[in-house]
Amino acid sequence: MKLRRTWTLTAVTAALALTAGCGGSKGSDSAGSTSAPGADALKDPVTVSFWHAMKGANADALNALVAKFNSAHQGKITVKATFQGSYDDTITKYKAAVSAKQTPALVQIYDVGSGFMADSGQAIPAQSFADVDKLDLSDLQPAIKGYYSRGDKLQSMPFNSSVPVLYINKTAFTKAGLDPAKPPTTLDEIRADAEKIKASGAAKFGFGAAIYGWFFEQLTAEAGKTYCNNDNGRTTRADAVTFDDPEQVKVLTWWKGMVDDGLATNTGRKTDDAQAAFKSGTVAMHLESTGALGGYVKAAAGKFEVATAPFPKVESSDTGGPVIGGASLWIGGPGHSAAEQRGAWEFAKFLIQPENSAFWHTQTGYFPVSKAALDEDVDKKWVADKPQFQTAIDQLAATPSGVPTQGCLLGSLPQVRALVENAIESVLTSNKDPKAALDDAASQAKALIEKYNASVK
Amino acid sequence: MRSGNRVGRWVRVAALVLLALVVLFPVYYTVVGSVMGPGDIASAPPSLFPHRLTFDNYRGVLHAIPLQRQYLNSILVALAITVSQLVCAVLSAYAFAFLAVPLKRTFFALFLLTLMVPWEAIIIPNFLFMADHQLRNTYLALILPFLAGGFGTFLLRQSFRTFPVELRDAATLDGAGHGRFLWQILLPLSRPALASVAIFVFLSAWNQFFWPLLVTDSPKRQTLQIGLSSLNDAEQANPGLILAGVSMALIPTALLVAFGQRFLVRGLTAGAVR
Repeated sequence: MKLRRTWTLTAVTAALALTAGCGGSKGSDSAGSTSAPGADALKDPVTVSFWHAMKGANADALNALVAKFNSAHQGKITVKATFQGSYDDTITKYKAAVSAKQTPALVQIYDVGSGFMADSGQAIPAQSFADVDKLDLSDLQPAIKGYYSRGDKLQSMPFNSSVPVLYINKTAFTKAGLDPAKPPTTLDEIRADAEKIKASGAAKFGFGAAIYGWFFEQLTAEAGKTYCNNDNGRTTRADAVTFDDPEQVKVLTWWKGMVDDGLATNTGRKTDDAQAAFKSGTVAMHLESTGALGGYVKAAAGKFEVATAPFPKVESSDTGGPVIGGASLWIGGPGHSAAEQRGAWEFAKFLIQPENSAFWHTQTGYFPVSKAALDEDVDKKWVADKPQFQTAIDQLAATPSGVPTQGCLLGSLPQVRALVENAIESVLTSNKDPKAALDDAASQAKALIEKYNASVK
Repeated sequence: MRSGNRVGRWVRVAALVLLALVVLFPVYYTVVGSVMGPGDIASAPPSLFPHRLTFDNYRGVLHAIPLQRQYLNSILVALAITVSQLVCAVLSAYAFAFLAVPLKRTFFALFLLTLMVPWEAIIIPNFLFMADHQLRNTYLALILPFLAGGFGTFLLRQSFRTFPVELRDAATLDGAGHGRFLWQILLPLSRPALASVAIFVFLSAWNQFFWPLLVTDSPKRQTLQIGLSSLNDAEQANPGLILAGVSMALIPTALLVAFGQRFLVRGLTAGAVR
């Protein structure tokens, strides 16, 4: 997903993070523990407040699931879902609510907010509930489960997940004499194909992607490398980023070469602009999340055909794979009664049942977190209608588990991502040396992370 | 000479037309883009007019957010803030301009100081206050922090100070007290300044984003600006939808500026030449 930054938001978020850190450690309510209550906690009817950031068709699907849950638990649990704005807005409001001790029992937080949530002391790990219930979590997609785990303990309930893919303008590809069935798999192959596309005039540019730190994180994972130390922050809290791998330097060198030679266009940081370039047929290859598929097919109708391919690797010998993106659900501990906590968990559990996961998948295009969901009839039919999505399924199935593809768990990941974007931008537009740009980003990140870690100790 | 003048005139007109186009184009494209389909709006080079009219975007907006309700919220909140700031500003500016208050300059400096405190620095204390008093998600929370502001006082004081002394003396001689002078003479003659304060306050209240976002939870309590930002999908850009929302939100501000502009310009320059 996208981070829309304003400096106001950043400043306030930072300030709130500090107050939230203090508030969290002081939580002294009787229900303030972060241990999971059992099913016996649900004696009287309880209302579970649920904050989310879903809009449009996604919000409709979510509300339908909430209604289904509420009618199945009539007189016992009522989930009250309220929309809180963008992912950024939601986490900012959540931080404010922490200092005011008015958090919701269940909150949807985007992937890069996971580090902060895990550190905040506000949430009961989903694993604790699963242990109490002796619930088998093996139906969860391993790559998705891994992302939301710290030291093998599932922290939050995965919900809406998306993966990055390589989008291809099939029509331009064919016109350039390339075979869409043999899409490029490495950065060098993208370059070779871009040269042919440009030379044939099938599209103005061969390649175009937003200067978006998420893609750098993905390519790092594809290379089988970590993004931050201490095993991507999965064993203990990370205190530095690891930006010194040759593959990471190559990403920037390659990107600059593409732009300098006119093979790629630089549309800047806004993902909207890069999306527009692909939708208009200006670029023939493009990196984006599976979440954009529906919009692409609609915009391309009558102009060109959209195909997808696995997200590229840096070198053909790379051993990694993509990292999952999206958001997960966090169950509130401090300030919530055992019944509320239990009610929130029941709803989270309900959402990952194969039937509901398949409903969510087919209504929204997000990846189903339940493996069995893909075997549901509605799901099979949906994928058959949208062959482009099969790429995402195959890609996730082929993703090797391990530290690199778990992604980096870091409280200050949103800010670090911005530093990476600065680095890419300075390489593309002002000829900064790729290695020096990454080194600078790493040292700035170190200072940020140290400050954050000191605030949550 | 005459022909030279005429050429000069044409050059001037051409330059003004060009500038007007620069200013009007975004407005034009907002409206035109809102009736384009997804394929039309994402074309290269961009099409300047829709090839096929569609009102799907408008339907989409009305489905996605409770627009009418949010419209009402925005108008209610902005009006309440405007009226209250206007009343406070008139009274305090009157005191600063006409009354012999001890330590007047110090108090005025304090008023000006409030203009220099960045709003971001007091958001959190304000939020905690609202949370402590159970005011979150209420209209009061949206209005309370903005009931008074230093800007209006400052602008009106400057305007009142340029008020002709003779008129005031004449009013006093005729036996008019402060209230009568203020209500019947000063205010009617200060309409441009009042209008510009009102427009400025209204527009800034109308355009507020972060505070309403923080203190409201339910879409029915949220203002239009938050509704608009919620049209922005996290995964995929949908410019047509956003342009449709913006087109609808633009109406009051456009009217205000169109009809209030002459006051706006006059009010801002009032006293500037002295």
